[in-house]
Amino acid sequence: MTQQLDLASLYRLRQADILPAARFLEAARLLRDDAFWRCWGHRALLGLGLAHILAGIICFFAFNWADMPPFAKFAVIAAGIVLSALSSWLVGIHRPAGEALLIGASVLTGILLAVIGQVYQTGADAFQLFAAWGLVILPWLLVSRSAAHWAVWALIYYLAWSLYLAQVIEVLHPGRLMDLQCIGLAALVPIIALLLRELAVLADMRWMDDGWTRIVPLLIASSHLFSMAAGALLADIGIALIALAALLLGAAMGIYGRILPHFAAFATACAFLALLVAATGWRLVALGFDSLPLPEAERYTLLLFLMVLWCVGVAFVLQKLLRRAKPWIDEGRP
Amino acid sequence: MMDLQELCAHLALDGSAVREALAADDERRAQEMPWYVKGVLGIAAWIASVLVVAFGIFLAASLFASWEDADPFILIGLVFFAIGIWMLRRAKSFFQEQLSTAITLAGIGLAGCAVALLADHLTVAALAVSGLAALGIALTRDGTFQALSGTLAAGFALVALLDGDIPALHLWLALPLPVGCWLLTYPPLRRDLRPLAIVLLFAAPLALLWTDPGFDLGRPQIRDIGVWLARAIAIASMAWLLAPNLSPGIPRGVILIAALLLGIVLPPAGSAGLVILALAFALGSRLLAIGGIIVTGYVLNAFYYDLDTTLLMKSGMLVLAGGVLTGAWFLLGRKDTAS
Repeated sequence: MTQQLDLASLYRLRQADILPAARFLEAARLLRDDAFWRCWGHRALLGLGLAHILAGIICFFAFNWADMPPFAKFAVIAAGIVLSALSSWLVGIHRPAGEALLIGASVLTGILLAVIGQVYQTGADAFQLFAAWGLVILPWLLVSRSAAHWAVWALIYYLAWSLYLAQVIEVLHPGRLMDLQCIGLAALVPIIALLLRELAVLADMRWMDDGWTRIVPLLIASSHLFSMAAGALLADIGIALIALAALLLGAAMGIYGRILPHFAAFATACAFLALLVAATGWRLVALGFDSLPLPEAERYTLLLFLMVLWCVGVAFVLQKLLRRAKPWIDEGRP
Repeated sequence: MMDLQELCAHLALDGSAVREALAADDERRAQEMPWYVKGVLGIAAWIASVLVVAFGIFLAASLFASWEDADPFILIGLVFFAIGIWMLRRAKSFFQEQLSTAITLAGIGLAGCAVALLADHLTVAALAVSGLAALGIALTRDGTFQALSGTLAAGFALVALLDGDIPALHLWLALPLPVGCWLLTYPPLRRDLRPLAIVLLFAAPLALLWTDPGFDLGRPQIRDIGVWLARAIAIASMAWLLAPNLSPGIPRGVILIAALLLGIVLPPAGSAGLVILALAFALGSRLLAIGGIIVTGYVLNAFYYDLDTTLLMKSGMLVLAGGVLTGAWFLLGRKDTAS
């Protein structure tokens, strides 16, 4: 009987009338991990102090920023980059503090490029700034073994690609179908990032093996595919786009259900596919009802009733599928 | 930190009864789906509930001739409430729980809005919503429903308070704080009211921050010394209650005086943030600590933002305060190492 208790257990004991209310706080004090709270208090004090100092420095530069000559502005940011990179090297690039400092240097590089663009009014499109930013920080990325650093880099190229699609492709080829295709094409960066992540893990790069490195790109890619398909459904164009989205989401379900078993990723793809199936059903019902010879109020009432039935049905199947899939996906995990 | 055996011995609890109560809970937790699956099913249930509510309203509209009168909407709201509670009491899956929660809340909201229109008085609507929410909480045991119906009732009450031009508004807004504190530290028998307690606990600072962070000392309400004193007494009484758990080494009198001073000096939301942090420590709750830090951080941010001075002066104050805090961290660290 050496089971560890937590606060929730105490509430459970109180509900079962085992622990008297008058002794609840005493029990909570006895269970409290005082060493943790001492450490927490120290860190909170340090965090608060450093946040104050940092905010003070930012306020100081904000006060003088407008009056500073361009080269002083560049020098301040460049000094930040050099300091961060050097500190990262001194602390150790592969330690958490070193990784954070190197990410800081990468972010400051983007700020430097933005300030250069602001001072000289280069007239370049925004996607060029992001593309250049990603290219400049590539050497740091190659020596870094931080998944967070790679995620920042992927985010920079995701923004660059999305801006390129919006500022160049959609302007050169205007039209609703092209808009939808661009929403889908924006999913390319997260899909490529996901593929590279899986290859890196298969190549035994364990530092890339965190669950979030799989879920985040999958979530972004799935939302793009769903948005593209939903747009096509609403505009009644590009049936192929709906089929493509369903196919890719189904493929993701297959991959994370069988080949690389991971329940959270499987559930993500499954949820987006279910949403797409529900939306398709609603659209088909709505199209069918447009031609029904019924008064408006009754038509809408009947339409909503069928939509409720369809939604509950899809949710029921989804719940059953996830409940059944969980044990065998969990068993299949290495 | 004690384990189960030591705790039972220290508090003279029946070990076998404790084990039995906790085993049932462990079994229930083991059968639960992961949070993200619950999230997906919850979203599906809420989408379905929007359609159900729309369907109900259209159905009622085809039965009642006029959309203009508020009376039918009270009836529709009450029907939704009754159906939702009935479903919630019989819910067997997470999807059913969320669907019935959403339908019940829609019923409460609809009835509340219709009462507000009919009576032309927000206080009556707030009372109706609070009554329905309390009835729902008494009849069911669902945590999500408890939290959301509490939030809905708190929202209606806040709007009614702001609309009513009530004297000593800060005191009314701060009232849920001691209630939430009490529910968490003296939990009732047979019912888990933690979701409601947490809503009440955070309703006060959020309402205070929304209405007025409290730094504008020129306002008549802020200059009312009675309000400040009453708040200080409220905070001090809570500190008195929590004193043995905060630090057994420090006498109650010292904690009491510190709490009184904090209550007088700090703006209301700042005091509420500190109460939440003290409660987090007394209970050993990391979740409450995160909430307390967010509230306190927001108050600090509002304080520096509202300061009527130059950025250079703010910069100096921030660096000075940061230096004092970092110095305190250094000295405490050295003291700990030495001991």
